[in-house]
Amino acid sequence: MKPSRREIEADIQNNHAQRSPCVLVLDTSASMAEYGRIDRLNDALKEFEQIVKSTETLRQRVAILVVGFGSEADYLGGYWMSADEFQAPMLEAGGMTAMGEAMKLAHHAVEEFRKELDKAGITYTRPWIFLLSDGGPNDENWEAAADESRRACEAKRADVWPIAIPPDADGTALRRFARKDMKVYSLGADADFRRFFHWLGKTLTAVSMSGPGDKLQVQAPGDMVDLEV
Amino acid sequence: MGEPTEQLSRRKRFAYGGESAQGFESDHWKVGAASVTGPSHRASASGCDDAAAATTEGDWLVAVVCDGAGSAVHGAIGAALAARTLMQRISSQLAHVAEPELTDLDLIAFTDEALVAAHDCLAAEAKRLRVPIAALSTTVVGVLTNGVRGTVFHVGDGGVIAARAAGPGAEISLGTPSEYVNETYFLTDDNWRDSLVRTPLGPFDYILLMTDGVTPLAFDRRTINSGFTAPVAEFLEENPIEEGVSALFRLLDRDTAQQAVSDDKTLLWARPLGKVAPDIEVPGIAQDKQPPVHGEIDVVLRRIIQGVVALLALTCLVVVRLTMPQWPSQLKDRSIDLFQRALQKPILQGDEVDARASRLTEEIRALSESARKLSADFGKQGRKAEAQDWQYRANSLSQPALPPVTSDEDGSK
Repeated sequence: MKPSRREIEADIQNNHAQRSPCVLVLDTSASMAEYGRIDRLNDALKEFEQIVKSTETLRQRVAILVVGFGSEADYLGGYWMSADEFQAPMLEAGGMTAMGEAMKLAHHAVEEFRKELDKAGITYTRPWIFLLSDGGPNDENWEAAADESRRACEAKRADVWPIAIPPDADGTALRRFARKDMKVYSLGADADFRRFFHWLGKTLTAVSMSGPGDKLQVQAPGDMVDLEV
Repeated sequence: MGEPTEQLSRRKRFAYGGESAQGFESDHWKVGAASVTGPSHRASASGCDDAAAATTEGDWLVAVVCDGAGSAVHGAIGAALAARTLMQRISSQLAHVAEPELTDLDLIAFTDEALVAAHDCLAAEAKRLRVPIAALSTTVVGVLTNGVRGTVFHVGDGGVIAARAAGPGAEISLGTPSEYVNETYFLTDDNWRDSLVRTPLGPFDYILLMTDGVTPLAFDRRTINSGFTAPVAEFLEENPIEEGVSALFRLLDRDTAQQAVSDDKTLLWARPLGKVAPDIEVPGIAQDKQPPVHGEIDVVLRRIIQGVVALLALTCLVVVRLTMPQWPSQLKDRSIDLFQRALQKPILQGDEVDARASRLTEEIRALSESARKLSADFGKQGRKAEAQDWQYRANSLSQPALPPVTSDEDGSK
């Protein structure tokens, strides 16, 4: 006799898209050409592209934007892209360090994206902005931009992660863009971009899968050096 | 995995943490809940951090679901402790009220006191475990109601739907607003009071309490997805509660549900019994306070109806008992059965009761044995789901009798 196991015929919808916005603000100033850093950053970005494309949750949930800054700042390789569409832009080193301008662009894009997601009724995790630089800002008004960036972070509009590329990164200036209690992380003496992007892939996976209350799972880039500033 | 790990309780209350499916039926309420581990917690082998508890005290139902923060080390402990404490504190306060007619202020005071007690309890437990209280982080979705009025108390995310089958829409609570999907507020926060969201309740046909693993299924943004909620409520209403929660567990554990939301999932359903919700216009969108006069009219009306019904029943009973010796035995059996069902009280006396009890015990034991054998047979054929199902039924049947304290006289004081 087959037991009559009756089931509840409920309609289960799977359109509950969730996004984890992630902005990479990358220094492409002339100094990045030293020690072959720009090449290694390009290689690491390519690898990051492979990571996000080969991870199912990342492909569906992570939205990526790259802002490059030399003498000028600009969105590279397109505007907000799903991890699926993401193609690592080819970075070229040259010019000054328009970090203030770049961070303005990053925050602007975050706010635009937020509006779009709200309109579509898509839930999202707190946007992350990774600021990678081997120097310090030297564009006009960068200080005002830094203050504005910190205010946005304090208001939980986004989280800025300052990442220092040794040996000459100005940790103090980088930190001014982030929340007061945020640490500055260093890529280490060997400026290991690969390790950073692997950590990012892993962390984004955890974040993009997280439900409420899982926020504490977001861990500091453990194997990077915590920079005293 | 895939089946309830704990047995159904036949008590008029339950309180559990982790994966489970439990329920009960009292004189006034039918209640069931199921919790499943979400795939994201299965992947990290961290288990289900949800908890649920429910009990009745006369007309009143106390029900709570809690979601322990997956990230917090002892989130599961926090959730289970909070759910249990809230249930116990509120029900013991109800038990001390002589008059069952509680004022709206009482409802707020009772739940408030219980929340403070639960927070303190978590703080004490954290101290004992030598961890910060945040390690026990948990949300709270709770309700204290008699089906006609009540209050929802809500800290953090998750959801409540108090639905009416007909008439104006449901009342909902979606908890403390939070901009980001992976951030919320907890009872363990220092400023949890700021996060507390209360929603007054009017009459409803059934109520659903859920953790955030279920809200994306039950809601489409802030709109109720009745394609999900209505079949669940209907199934639980129409089937024995054991079957209901078992099916609810399987529904939440279904691949489509688990793929849609990766979090732990808990859904609690409750329905007031034996009372017709008065036809009161419920303020639709505006969730203003229920005018107290409605509640009072309803109570008076209910008392009158109860009185008339009781009087009628008593008259019938007397007539039947007087004439019964002359009835043919078939008719006698049937009418006894009928009265038992109608009154939910045995009218057998003395030896008859004992005899029936021992006969039933024997039958149940035999049934349990048969179920166990059937399960083994299914197992041999490799039909795992059916084997588990029958094993589960066998276990449910072979549960020992309850201690005398929790008698079935639950609500009728």
